[in-house]
Amino acid sequence: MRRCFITGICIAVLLITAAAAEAVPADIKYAEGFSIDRYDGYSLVSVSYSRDDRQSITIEYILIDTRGLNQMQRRQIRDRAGEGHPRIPSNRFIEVPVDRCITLSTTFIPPFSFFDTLDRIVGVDYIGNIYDSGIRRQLIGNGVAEVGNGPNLDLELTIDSMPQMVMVNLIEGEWNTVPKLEKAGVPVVVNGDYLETSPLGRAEWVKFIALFLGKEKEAAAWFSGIERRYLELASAVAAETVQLPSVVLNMPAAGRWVVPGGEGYFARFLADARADYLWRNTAGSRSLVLDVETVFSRALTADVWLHQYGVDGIDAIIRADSRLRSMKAVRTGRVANNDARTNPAGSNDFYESGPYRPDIILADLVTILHPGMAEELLPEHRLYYYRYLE
Amino acid sequence: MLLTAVTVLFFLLDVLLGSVSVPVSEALRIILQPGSATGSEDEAWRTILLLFRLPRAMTALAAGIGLSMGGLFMQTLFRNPLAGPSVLGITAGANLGVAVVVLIIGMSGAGQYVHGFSAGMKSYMVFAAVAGASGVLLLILLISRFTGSVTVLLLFGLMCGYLANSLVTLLIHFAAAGQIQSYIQWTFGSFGSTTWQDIRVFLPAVAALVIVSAFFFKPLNALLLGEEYARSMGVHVRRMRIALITATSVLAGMVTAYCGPVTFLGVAVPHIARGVMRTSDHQKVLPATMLIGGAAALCADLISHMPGQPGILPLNAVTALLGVPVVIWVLARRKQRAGLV
Repeated sequence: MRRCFITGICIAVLLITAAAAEAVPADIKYAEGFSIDRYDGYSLVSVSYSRDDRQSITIEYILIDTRGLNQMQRRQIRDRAGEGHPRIPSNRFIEVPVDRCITLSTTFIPPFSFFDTLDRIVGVDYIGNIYDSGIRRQLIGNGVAEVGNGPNLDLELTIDSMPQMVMVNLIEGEWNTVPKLEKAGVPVVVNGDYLETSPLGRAEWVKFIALFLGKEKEAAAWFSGIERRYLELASAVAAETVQLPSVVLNMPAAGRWVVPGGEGYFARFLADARADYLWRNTAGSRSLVLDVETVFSRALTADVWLHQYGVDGIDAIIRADSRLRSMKAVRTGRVANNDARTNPAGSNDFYESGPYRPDIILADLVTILHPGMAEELLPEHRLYYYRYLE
Repeated sequence: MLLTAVTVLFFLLDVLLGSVSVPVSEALRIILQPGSATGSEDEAWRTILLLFRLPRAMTALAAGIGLSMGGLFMQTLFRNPLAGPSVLGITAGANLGVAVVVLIIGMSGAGQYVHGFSAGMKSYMVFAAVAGASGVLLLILLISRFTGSVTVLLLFGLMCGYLANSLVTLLIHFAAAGQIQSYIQWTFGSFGSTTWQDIRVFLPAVAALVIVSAFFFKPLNALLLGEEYARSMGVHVRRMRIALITATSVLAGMVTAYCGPVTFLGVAVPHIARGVMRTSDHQKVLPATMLIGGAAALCADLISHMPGQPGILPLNAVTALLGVPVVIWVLARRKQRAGLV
C-alpha cells in the first residue's frame, strides 16, 4: 500500500516536471520569419513579420506529432498543449504529419518534391502556374483540385477536398484568404517565406514545410548541404575580389524606374556575390519607385544590367525604349535576366525552386559578375536560372 | 502676350529642373549646342536633358494643349460646363484598350513579383488606346446619324463610359497581382514615357489639330448660342458635330496612349481661360485655353518631379490639387454674369 503511494507520488512528480519542462527551440539560423519551440509531444511554431513602418504580425501554431500515437494519447497531448498555451485558438492546432494539403503558392510545392511527398498535395491554386512539368504531370495524374486564390478562391471546392492543411502566403488585403478559410472551418497555415530578406533565410523555410510533412531530419540535412555550398562560394569570392562591378536592376515604365531596396532579398545576393549594387546604401527592403532620369543617370555607366521583364532580347528592349541603348551594359553585352527557366504560360522557376537553391543563384551571379573568377571557382557551372540577352 | 510668356517660362523650368540636378549653365549649353558634350558626366547630363527632360516637357505641352482643346470643344458642343474629353466615354474606351493589353496579354511572361510592364507591350498599348478611343468614337458617330439630339449623344457617351469602366473592373478582378500593380501605376498618368520617335507622331498630330481649329472660331461661337441659331447662321451643324467629336477623340486617344489617363485638365482649363479672358468668344478663348492648358500640364509635371525628391508624385493627383484652387478662384472672381459657358 505504502509502496503504491510512493510510486504514485514519484510518477506524479515526474509528470509534473515533464510538463513544466522548458521548451527546446529548434535551430533556425537565418530565417527571421518563423521559429520552432519543441515541447514534449508537440511543437509551437511561430510565424511572424514586422517591418519598421508597420505593426508586427505573429501567428502561432501547435503541431502535434501523431506518429505512433493512439487517439487517447493524441487527445492528452492536445489538452496539455491547450493548457500550456491558452491563447492559441483550437483551429491552429494541427496534427502532423499531414496527408492532405492544399498549397496556394507554387513556392510551397518544391519541398514536397524534395522529400518525395507530392502525393500529399490534394489541391493547388492554379496548375498552370507550376513551372516544373514533372511535378505538374504528377499532380494532374493524382487528380489534384484547382481551387484558385485570393478573391477567386473556390471555397466549396476547397472544403470538398477535405484538406488537413491549406498553406497560404502571409499577405494583406483582398488576397488574404485566411479569414475566409478559418470561417469555413478549414485549417490554414500562413507561410511568410517571400518576406524573408536573406537568401539562406528564405531557403531555410524548407524546414518549416518539412515540419508539417514529418521530415524534419531530412530537411535539416538538405539545408546544411545548401548552406555549406553557399557559404563556401561566398567566402571564396570575397577572398578573390578586387574590384566590384556596378549593377543596375529592372526596367523603366511609365516614367518611373522601380529598383529593389538595399536591404532586400536580391540586394543581399548581390552583396554576397561581391557586386556594387548602385542602391545598396538605401535602408529597408521595400522597392524604391524612382524617376526614370534618376536611375538612368547612374545606369548609364553601370557594368552589368540584370532583370529585364518580358523581353526576348536586346532588340526588344531598344524597341520599347530606345534611350536604353546608350547604357554601358547594353553596349558591352553584359545584360542578363533570370528567365532562363520559364514556360510558355509564364511561370518562372526562379520563383518556384529558386528560393530553395540560393547556392545555384549565387553561382549564376558569380558567373555573370566575375567571369574570370568563375572559370577558376566554378569550372563546371553553366548558367541555370539566368541567361544573357542577345 | 503674357500667357505665352508664362507657358514658355514653365516649359523652360520643366526642362531645367528635375530629380537630378544639372547646373543651369550646363543645361543651357547642352540644349543650345547639342553637339558640344565632353566627358562622361556631360554625357549623363546630355542624355537626361535631351532624351528625358526635353521629350517630357514637349509631351506635357502637347498633352496639355490637346486635352484642354478637347475639353473646350465638348463644353461648347454640349453647352455644358461639366463636359470634358471623357464625357463621351472616349477616354474610358482608351483605358479599356490599355487594360486589355496590360491585364490580359501581359499575363504571359510576367511573374508574380514583376514591377512594370513587359517592355514589348508599349507599342501594343499605344495601338490599343487609340483603337479603344476610336471604337467608342465610331459608335458615337453611328448613333449621331440616327439622332439629332445632342443630349442623346451625351447620354449614350456616358453609358459607353460606364460600360468601359466596368469591363476594366472585371479585368482587374481576374488579373494577377503584378499586372494590377502595373495597371494602377499607369493610371497615375505620366508625361515621361515618350521617346523622340513617339514625339515625332504625337506633336505633329496635335499641331495639325491646333491649326485646323482656327477655322472653328465662328462655328463654335455660333454653336454656343444654340443649334437652331447656328443653323440659321449657315453652320452645318452635323458636320461640325462630327468634326468636333473626331478631333476630341483623336486628341484624347493619343494623350491616353502616350501619357496614361490625365484627368482634370480637360474640364478645368476652359473655365480658367474664360475667366482670364473675361469672354466666351472662341477667338480669344481657344488660344487662351491652349496656352493655359500647356502651362498647367507643364506646371503639374514640374511639381511631380520636384527636385530634391528622388521619387515622383502621381501626375493625376498633382493636376487636381493644383487646378481646383485655381478654378475656384476664377469662378469666385466672376461677377454674377449669366451662365458658365
